[in-house]
Amino acid sequence: MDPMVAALSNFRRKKYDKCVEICTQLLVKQPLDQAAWYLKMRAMTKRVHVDDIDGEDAMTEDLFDENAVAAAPRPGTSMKTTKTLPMRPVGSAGRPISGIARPASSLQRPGSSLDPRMKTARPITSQSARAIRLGTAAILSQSDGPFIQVSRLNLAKYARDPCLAKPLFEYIFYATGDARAALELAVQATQANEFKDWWWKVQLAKCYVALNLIRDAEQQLRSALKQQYHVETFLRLIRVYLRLDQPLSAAEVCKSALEIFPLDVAIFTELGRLGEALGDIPSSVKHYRNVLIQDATNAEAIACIGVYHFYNYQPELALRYYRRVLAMGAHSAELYNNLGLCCLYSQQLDLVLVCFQRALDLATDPLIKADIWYNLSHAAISSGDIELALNCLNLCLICDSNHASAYNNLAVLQHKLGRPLLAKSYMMTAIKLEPDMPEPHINLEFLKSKI
Amino acid sequence: MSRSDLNISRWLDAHSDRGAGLQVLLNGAVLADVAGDGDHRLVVADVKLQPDTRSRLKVYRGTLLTSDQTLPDIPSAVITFYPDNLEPKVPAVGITCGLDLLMYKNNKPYFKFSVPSLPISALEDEVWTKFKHKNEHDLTQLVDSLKTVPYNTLTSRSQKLLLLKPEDAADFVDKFKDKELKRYSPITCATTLQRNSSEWNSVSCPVLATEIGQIYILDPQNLSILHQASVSVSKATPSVIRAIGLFDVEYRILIATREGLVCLLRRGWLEGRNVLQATTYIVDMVIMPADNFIILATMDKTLSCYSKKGSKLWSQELKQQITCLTLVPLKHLSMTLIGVGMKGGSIHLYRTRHFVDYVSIPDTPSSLLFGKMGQEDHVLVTITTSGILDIKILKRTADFNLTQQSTASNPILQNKPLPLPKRSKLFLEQSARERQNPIEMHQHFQQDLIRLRLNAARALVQSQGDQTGVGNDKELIKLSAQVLGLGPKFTLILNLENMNGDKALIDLTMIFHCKSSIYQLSHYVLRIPLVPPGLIYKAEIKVEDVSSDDFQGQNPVQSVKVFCTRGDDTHPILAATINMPPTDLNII
Repeated sequence: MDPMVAALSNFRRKKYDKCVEICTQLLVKQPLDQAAWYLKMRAMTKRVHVDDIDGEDAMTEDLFDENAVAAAPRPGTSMKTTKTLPMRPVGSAGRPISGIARPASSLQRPGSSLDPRMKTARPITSQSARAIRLGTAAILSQSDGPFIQVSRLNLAKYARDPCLAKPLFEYIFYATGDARAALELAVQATQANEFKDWWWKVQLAKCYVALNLIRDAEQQLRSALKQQYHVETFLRLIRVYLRLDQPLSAAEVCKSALEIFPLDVAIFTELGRLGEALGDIPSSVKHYRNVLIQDATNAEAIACIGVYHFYNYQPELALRYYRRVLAMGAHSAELYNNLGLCCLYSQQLDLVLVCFQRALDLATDPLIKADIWYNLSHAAISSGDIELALNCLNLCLICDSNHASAYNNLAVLQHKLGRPLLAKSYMMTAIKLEPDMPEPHINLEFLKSKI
Repeated sequence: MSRSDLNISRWLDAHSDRGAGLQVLLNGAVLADVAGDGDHRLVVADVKLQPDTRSRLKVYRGTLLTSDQTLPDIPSAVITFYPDNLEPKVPAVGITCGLDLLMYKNNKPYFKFSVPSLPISALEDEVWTKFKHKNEHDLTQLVDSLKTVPYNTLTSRSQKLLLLKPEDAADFVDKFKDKELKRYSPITCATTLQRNSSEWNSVSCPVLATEIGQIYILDPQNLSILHQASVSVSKATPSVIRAIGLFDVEYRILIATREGLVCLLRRGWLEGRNVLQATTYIVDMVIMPADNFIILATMDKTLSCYSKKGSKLWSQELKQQITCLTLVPLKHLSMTLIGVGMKGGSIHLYRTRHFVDYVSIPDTPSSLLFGKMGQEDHVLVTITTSGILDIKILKRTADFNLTQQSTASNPILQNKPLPLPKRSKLFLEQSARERQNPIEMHQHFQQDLIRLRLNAARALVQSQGDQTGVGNDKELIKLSAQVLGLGPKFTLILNLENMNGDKALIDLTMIFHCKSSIYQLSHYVLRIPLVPPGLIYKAEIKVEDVSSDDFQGQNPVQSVKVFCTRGDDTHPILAATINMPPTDLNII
């Protein structure tokens, strides 16, 4: 078989490593074979490609944020000051925890207290361009040095080539993660297309976002939307507004996008998340229900509605949603944890501990394990076994020594057992770990008034 | 409170006299139209306890002191009432001093009522007759016989005799043996009860309460006793007395006693009934006019409200000790507020349990009054413990509309039920399942619970084996760590807490383990000095990342291990692993 055909076939079957190998051999024979060069580039891009709409937010966002936002925004216009929902547990970052771990929120500590959590079924590739840029560029190094020396390329020449420019851009942006070079290429290509190609404008915006030039990105995306309506462009614009902490503008964009793409699942999902972030749970649930009408297997929507029912004192309905997730084939510690909690609160007692046991068996992350032990302590308390509850809380703290809620509950139990000094010390620890949590403050005050 | 901080005050500062030098007991001042000219004045019984001074009755017209008379004894209460319906209507001022109720009209004394003497026990009477006739050789024997009589039924003369040293007793007996033996009980508090009309200026009767718990309702015209009753079956010393209703129709007299009881006396009763028992001493009491609720201020900084039957409706813990209460009736707004004077000089106004406003004054109030003064209808008069007289006027525009600030400050008790959703069909199905096979479910759960206990115990033993974890329950110590810095230089702050309440930690050593190829520490062994009970020992360790770049790439997370050992024991009592963050030079 002709090696080129074999390479193409491998590419289509998503065997990118094999494809790259064949292309490398072809290029050794004929270094200027544009087809092989193109294919290798595509294969290498595809190998590391990631759905970067839902990509990780920059870790340095808060530290080096140059886009100053008003420090005291009006209520309801910012997500940073949104009042946390009553009843829902709050993560250590102060953000209410939803029913689903979204890619963008993975930086925060997952979960606290009564926290039924679900990891998303959305596929996330393990490495994103950003991560590569930060530390592990060594992974990409080929046996014979880098494939393309970006700094040596004549970008102006490639920018004018409509066939090569786009794959080259994607290669630079995704595979090498060099947003600056990618930006240069995109700028020249846009000029070469006389500012008429919306695709390049979206790419420009991508680069700006990567370089933290959010306002420029907004401009490019708006201009791209004037030329062509595209769901991706809308989603990116929503992201940009979220980065700027302007949830109301983001909601506006969602609404105008829905006029053009009615019933689009991705936009409904965005609206659902926005509602949740703003603390408007009823509207969030409404949008998630719209998602489910279109796509009955959307795990995020099912999980979020499940959480809503759980905290709305209807654990039996939440149980139904989580069972649906289970039926869809998900099999994770978080899911079993949630099922256990729902069973506990809807009094299906024979299933409670089975579910928690499964969750414990499946959990590998110590933080998740800590949460499961914490929830088990609730099961123990409701069955009246203080000794067991203490053991569970201690195990929770062994897994995660920063679990403030566990310290607080431990203090309450110790106080109940007549050890006020120990209780006081535990409460102080809880306050030190999470100064915003109200319970230990109130308990400590109570304790002080007693002594 | 923050909301009212921002608001403009509802009160005008009319007058504040720092040199007034008034010493007033609770209920020792009153606002009344004493001259009958419609100009209401402040009548104060100024208590002077120093031996060479006399207590005085002072009348203020506006801010001016218009009358000042000495009183024969230390006053305990001031009341004002209209004795008759004759025009012009001039109220009388009644002052209780010791055993007497002194009545003043137009600032002149014109009547006096003395509490009738109480029966004397036969034995006591006999003893004093013997004193009169016999010589002193059997004095000690007679004094001893007095001791058989219950102390509180003795006259004050005999009581004093029993307290004297034996050598002084003869002199004392000589001095008093010729005088008539009488037993009195001083008046502790007084109030007024309207006689037959609820008009504000109708005839009302003075009501007196004495130390041993007798209540006298007097005729206002000739000061004869209309009705006499005792407060309670048990021993009760009245401290605050309040009356509502009409004497001729139906009335209730509520008496708060020093024992913490509140007793109720109704028309025709000869003996009061205990309505409620407060947990601590009662400071002051007021009765809400509309619904007859009892508002009590107690020593434990609590303001509580009881229904007229004595069941507790609400209680509110305040920041400061309460010193006095007053009713703040606002007829034009058809509401009655409770004014609460507190230690430190703040007066809070409550509408039922909701805080509505506050006024601050320079000092702790000893007496609060609200009513008409001069031509002004709503005046708050405060007399403080250091003698300051403070007069504030409520602005006519003031409204205590609660709509916008209503319950936000007090979400403690919920009367409304929680907004629970309806029971779903699914719930019914599940509960049906529960009903069908309860035994299996229970057995299953119990089995699982036993299994969980085993698993938890196993996990604990395992963690105990490798001594991971933050604390040691047996030793009652706790270790927490904090890593500061971005690298390559870190600071590790360790807090070793002694959670034991009565034992100090001694002879401990902290040992640090790490890969020497990666980290270099400032200390590897730390001797820990004595840690007293309940305190924290803080240690700071400098950690430097000395690994080369490529090595670091493969091991993004490295750890430092900490062990605590006691003495020469090789087994650590506490061990912890501290995960160090990766040094990220790219960030810097």
